Amino acid sequence: MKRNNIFNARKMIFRLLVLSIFFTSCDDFLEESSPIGLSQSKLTDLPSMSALVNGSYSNMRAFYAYQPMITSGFVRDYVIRNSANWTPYYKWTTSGVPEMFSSNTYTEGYKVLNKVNTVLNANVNEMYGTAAEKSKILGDAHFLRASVYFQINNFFTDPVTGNTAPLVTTVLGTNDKVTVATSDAIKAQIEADIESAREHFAVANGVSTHTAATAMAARIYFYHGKYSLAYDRANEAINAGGHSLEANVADIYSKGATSAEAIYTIITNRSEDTHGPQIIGYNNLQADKDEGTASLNPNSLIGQLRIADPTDSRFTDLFTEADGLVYADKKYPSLDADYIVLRLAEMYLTRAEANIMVNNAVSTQDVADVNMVKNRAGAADTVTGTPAVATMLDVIFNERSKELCFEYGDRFLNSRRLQKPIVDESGSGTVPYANYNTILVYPLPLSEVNIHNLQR
Amino acid sequence: MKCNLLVFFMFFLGFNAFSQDLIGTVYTSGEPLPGVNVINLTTGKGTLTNFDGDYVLKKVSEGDEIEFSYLGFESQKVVYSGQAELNITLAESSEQLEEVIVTGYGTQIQKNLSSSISKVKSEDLENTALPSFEQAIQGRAAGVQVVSGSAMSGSPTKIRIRGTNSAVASSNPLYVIDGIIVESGSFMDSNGNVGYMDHGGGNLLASINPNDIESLEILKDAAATAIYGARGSNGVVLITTKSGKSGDTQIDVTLDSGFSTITRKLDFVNSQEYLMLAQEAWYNSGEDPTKFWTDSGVLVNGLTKAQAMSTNTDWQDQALQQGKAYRANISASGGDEKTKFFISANFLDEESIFVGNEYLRLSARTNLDHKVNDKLRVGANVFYTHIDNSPVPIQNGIGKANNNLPIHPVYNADGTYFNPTRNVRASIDMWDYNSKSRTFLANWYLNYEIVDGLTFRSEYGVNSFNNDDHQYIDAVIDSNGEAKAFTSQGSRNSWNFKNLLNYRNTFGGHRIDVLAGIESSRNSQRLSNITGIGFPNSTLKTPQDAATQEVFYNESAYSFLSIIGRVNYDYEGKYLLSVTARRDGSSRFGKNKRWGLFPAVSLGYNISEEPYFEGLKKTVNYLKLRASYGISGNAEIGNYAYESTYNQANYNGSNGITLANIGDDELGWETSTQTNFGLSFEMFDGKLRGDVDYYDKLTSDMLLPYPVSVVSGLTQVTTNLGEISNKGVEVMLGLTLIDKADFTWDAEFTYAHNKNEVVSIGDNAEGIDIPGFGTTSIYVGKPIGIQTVPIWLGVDPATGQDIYQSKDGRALLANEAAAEAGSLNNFLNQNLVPYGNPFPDFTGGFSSRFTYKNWYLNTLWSFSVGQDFIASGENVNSKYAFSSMNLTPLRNRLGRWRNPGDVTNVARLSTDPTIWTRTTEYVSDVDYLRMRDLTIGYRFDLEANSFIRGLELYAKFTNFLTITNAQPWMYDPENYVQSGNLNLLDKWKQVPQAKTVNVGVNLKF
Repeated sequence: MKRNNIFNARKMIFRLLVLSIFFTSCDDFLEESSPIGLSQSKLTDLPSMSALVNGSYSNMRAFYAYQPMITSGFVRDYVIRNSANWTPYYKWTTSGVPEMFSSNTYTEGYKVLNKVNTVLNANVNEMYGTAAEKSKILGDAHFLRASVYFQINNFFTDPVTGNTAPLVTTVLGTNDKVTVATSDAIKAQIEADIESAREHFAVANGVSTHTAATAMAARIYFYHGKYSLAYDRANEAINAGGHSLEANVADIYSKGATSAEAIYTIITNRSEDTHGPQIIGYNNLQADKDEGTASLNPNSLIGQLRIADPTDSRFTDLFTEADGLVYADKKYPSLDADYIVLRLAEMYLTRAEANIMVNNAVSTQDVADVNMVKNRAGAADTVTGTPAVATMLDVIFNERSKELCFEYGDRFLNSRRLQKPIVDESGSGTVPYANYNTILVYPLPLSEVNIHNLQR
Repeated sequence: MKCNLLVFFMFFLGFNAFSQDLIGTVYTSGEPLPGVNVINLTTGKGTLTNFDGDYVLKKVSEGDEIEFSYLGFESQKVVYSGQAELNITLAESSEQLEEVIVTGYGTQIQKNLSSSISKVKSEDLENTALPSFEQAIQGRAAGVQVVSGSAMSGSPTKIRIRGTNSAVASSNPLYVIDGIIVESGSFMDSNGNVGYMDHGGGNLLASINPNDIESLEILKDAAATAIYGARGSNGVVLITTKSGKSGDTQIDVTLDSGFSTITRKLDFVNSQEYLMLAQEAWYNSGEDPTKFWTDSGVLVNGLTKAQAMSTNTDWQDQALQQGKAYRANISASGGDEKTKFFISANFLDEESIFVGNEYLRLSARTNLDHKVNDKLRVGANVFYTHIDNSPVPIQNGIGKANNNLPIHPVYNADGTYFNPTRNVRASIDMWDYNSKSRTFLANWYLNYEIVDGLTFRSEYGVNSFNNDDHQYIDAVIDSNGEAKAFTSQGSRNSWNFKNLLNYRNTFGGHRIDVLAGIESSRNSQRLSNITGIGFPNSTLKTPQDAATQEVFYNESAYSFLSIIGRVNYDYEGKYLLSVTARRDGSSRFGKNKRWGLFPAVSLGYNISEEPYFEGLKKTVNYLKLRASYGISGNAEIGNYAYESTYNQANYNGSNGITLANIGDDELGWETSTQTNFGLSFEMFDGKLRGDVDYYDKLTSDMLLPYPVSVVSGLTQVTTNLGEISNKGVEVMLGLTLIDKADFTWDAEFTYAHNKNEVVSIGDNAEGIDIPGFGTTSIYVGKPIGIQTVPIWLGVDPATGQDIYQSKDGRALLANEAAAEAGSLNNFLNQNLVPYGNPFPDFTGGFSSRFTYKNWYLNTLWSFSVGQDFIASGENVNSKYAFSSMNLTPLRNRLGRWRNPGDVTNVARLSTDPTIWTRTTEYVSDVDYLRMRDLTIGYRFDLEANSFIRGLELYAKFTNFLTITNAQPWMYDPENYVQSGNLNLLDKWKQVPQAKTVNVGVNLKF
């Protein structure tokens, strides 16, 4: 039968065999590349550099995530009601800081550094694009590197040896080894980076702005003890315009990035990774006895200041009293609010204190700066005349405490800068600076110590 | 390689047909039988029958002895007496030794097998009341550990063949259905942040109709699995579906319905007991007893003391019900000389023991085989399933049963839910979950006989899976008061194309079976979902109407290209040799490690065939020694693991990226090298049968998430590092106790012992703790899957405090530990030690088939001994029931310490805040002996001319009896812990199992 002959033909079998071999034997068949996400080899243009910068800002959420809770715990501004996880914070002046939470700052920080170092070591200036586009990217990269190292230096520096975490300014592979840097070396890098950021932002603002870099510089110099530069930068930030104090303190936190007072904000966007200080703050401080975990410590400095001036709107508007407890809930009013890292009120207080430190005298502008912050809150203790330096410095310390408590960490850093004591666990005594200065230091993550043999 | 292969093929094409001398046809039951070996034993020349059962044997002389043999049939020898035509009828062999075993790309008879393969037959899988067919393997195949998911419909099953070989790569076996490699495991969209699902996301294998399965072969040693190369090292499950037989069309109908209940409820305190314990804890913690009702927080949602005192709610009852299931299975099979068919339809409608869990499965199959002519055969197997599943997220179902107190009512007086965010009933009612999925699985083939003994087979298969999930969470039960909706569409599509050449022939006593082939496949998957948050009105339930929407999309693909070769050889059925090799290339492997070769060899010696064995043969009818050695791989390393990639990390609506993976061009498969020694025997005329195997499997290049310094931008990379060893013994014994015409009794016993041990983890001498996996750790000298936990030593009779052990071996009271480390939680976290046995020391089963006249009684008992389990959720919630969380404790808390001198395991009650760290206090043994199946049936005698050919009634009891030492906080000793291999001891909330009784009728027309 003819039909059968067709089927019988060995030719057909050969064709099938040959077809099957050619169909499948090509090595190209095994080339599959992820259709999702960029590969390293494609990081060659400004959009990808810009994406690295944005990715870094995304990391900043997690980088700052536990900072307000940890630092407020250091100075015992809150008490823990119902979470065994947070209890250790409260006891850190005796037990030291466990690695469990401090490693977050380290990990997220170096993830940011990996990306900004990728940008800063790429040949951005040779890429296709305008000078303004390049300045935006480079400004943000320097700004982020300064912000991250500032935080790392503040928390990881051993006050005895003066050593801190490694200084990394290049892109490292998994086999590269690093050593600890001196705090001075890191400080120099921070200051160089923040000034570079200001230079680039002077051409064009990026995600952050020239004012943000200037205000960050003021904060940096302030904590580096360079009060003259701190004054200059704070002064510049205040006079740059575009920012003003909110009339109503609760508006600062509910408006977030759109508040005129906010200078540098980490923006919350539910469609993105939102794990950050906003969620941590909201979850822990919310005015719900079962859901929240922490409430105001009545023995803390903030608790005492609240009793001293109960009508100050920073207490009446930002704290909620219920169930016999005081919740510090309104600085983290919702899961959707933005997290403010830097705002104008801090600049007024920084300018005033830096000016006093430079001149060793109190000027009327310093008093005006402090009263600006006080009056907005309706404080009862407005400063009159020009008090003595020591008196005025105490006023500013209390003012910074009231204004910036439960925020990014100023309460602890400022107490340490001024070598102020911290209330102890019982509330009836204090822990002196000398006792906590060496113990409230973040440990380097054990895994990093093991890999690099880090010795701080 | 390409060229070599062509030459290889052409070598076989060079064989020519023989000239005619003796012709004839071989039949069985009146049907022609193709592929029968026809050998002239005198001259050693032989041939095979064609598709019509016809053969031509040349140069046959009178007096020559001719043998007709075929797999699964009794051989016949005939002395040639000069006739021109010789027709032979072969009888099907009932002997187990002649049983056909599917080996992957081919078949072999049991007797000639030199590798280690277990077979489970269709009758053990039919009409199973278990959610998925593979659960019915438990206890039936030695060395195959089966952990049933749960009573949730369509829940996943965890199967480990000869232990766990990997840390992070999958250790699930490879599933092959009618020759097509299919993706198993769960298909779950975990990317939506709507809620945590713990039903496992469904089980792709649950879509298979158990009644379609003809046989299930489990390939265990390397000689058997190496034919699957880079994907064989976890073992292979070959599923062969039924095919039609020539003759009258047979219609088979089974109708079945059943009821199920939970195997064991947890024993929670009642209202009165709760108040007693809560007030004691309140008082013990130094609180004012008169303020218990006002300050302890037990009165919530406006509840009054009087209402609380008069309420006694059993919250488990709000989440549990009596399950119901209806099954129908209809099949038609038959055919003629040319065409054979098997068509089936299956229906399953189930409401499980979990309130709100509904499951509907509809499936249909068509298997066709058509003979075009003597040489060419074509066919297809086509299968389609539709599943409509409404699972219940366990954390919001039974797992939440202790979140309200027994003094709390389910509903307020006005009919609204009491305390809805913690009310299990509200969670179940106000959380819609529906998942619809469609599976299409098909293959088409052609078989061409080029010359006698040489066949070519070309086969193309597709596997397509689509799911469509929808969830809606009402604002009432959301802790932030936001309604959420979630939709997800996913698909997996794959094709597989293979071309095989098979040559079988016999020369004298030499029998060879040579296979060569090429296989290619590509799998792709896509997933997209939308989450909507915040709705203006509770009637709006799709994300489109939400205030904010979040979207997710992902796609990935992988491909394999393989070259397959195998030679099976035996001499007079006495000396057996099998050599296998597969060369696998995959897109999953790094650029420098794209291709791997996986060879294996096995030897068998049918010692009972030797003349010198003759004396023993009366007692030991059959004895075979087996040995095998080979290498196979595990390619479940993820699709783009070798590439350096950046993932999306957007900021404020602008494109952002972050380093997600640091590439490694050397990244490749995990390699398992396995040695197997075995023996198979039959004694006392086959009344006692057995297989004993010892294996030693070493997996090297184990894929590990290896911690690296974050200065590189990541805290871990994936790399081939480390070794795991699995060594074990397997025993299978079969026994025919009674074998009479109307009275038979067969029994089977399986036993397997496996020792799992991590041998090496690279430079780390002791152990590594993997970032991102909680307390998960991998320690040399311990099994994979252990955890690090602090050791709890008991309760101090003097003070009633818990006693914990420090790393250096000191026993500390809870307050001493807290003083030492700043807090008890700190102490516990600082004193974690590797602990526990995540795997049973041995598992097995005992089954029996008993028939008496028209009655039959089948039972299966399975057992598992030596495993540890931490039911953390039930324990943490019970131990800290009186912290501000206010939860319902288990009744074992009634045995708490009260007075100095009390010896108890339950510490003094307090309102201390919850410590989430798991300790050894929560460990339970989970040994069990379980009556997995008991089936009683009756087959009616029917008149020969009756319109029905068969009528059978049966009752089936599943999981009806369990003997266990599991602690009172365990629902069931059998617990499915995620699909991975790490962190295997701990599960936050258990998902209970069910026991069922089914009644069914089977009709044959």
